[in-house]
Amino acid sequence: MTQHPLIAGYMSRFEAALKRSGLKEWADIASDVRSHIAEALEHGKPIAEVLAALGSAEALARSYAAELLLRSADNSAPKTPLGWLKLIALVVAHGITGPIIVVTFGFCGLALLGAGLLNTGVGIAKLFGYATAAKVSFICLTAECAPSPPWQLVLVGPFLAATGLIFWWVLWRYARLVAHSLSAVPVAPRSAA
Amino acid sequence: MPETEWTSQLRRGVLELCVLRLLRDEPNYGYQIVATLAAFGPLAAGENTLYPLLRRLKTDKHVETYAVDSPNGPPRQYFRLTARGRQRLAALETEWTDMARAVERCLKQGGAV
Repeated sequence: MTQHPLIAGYMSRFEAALKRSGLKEWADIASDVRSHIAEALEHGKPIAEVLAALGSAEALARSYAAELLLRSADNSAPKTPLGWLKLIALVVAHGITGPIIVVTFGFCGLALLGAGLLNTGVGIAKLFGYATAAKVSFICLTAECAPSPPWQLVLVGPFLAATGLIFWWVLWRYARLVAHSLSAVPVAPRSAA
Repeated sequence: MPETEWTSQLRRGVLELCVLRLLRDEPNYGYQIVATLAAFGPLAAGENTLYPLLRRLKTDKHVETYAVDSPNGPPRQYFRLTARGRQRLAALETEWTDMARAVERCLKQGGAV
């Protein structure tokens, strides 16, 4: 079924705005709105009027975001395990453990990434005949170790870097969890845009 | 008289109650709910207010949707109350009555106790 270009344009702007707002169920919502548009068209309303009644795509997406992200059903205790997890995340974010997690994962992640890149770089340099005396010091625990063969550095380096990236990914997910909990828990009345 | 921001906020407050009440009589689809509300003057809410509200009611499991084939066009999405929705409506009706009475009393007697 071909779609009218005005509707297609509206829906693509709407879906983009929905995604930006962080709503996970954006595809479902878009499908709902398509269905509502179809209902109006079936009743003989002109396309321009239907879209005008919905308001701009961005404003409609904001309305959905305001309705779904700012309020919870009953201002009572969380009902699902994920709800409890979110609440704990919220508490942690305001406590001492939040900064500890951020500092630990942040710095370790950075250090691992740096070490990983350094090791890989040195390993590659070895292949070209430079840095022949370098060795991976935590694999080789005594001073008498021979310089590490290039393949060892080239193997260890990416592994360290990957671990560093994983640490940063964990940190990023944690930050998103906290942010999402903060927005989902009704803290103070906000007027919907 | 043009509507004030206050009326708009007031409507936003009561819209859930009214939509649940409308759905208690019979299930309906989005466009029709908008049309029905339009008959109630200041209660008339635009599509950009109503559709997100319907979505939230569905997320909160106060309503559920089902598809009904329509004569010419894609299947329509109908909304109907769930048991939880009926409880919610009853609770909101009580709260509304209490609030409305309190407001009337305040307007009538002011600070005189």
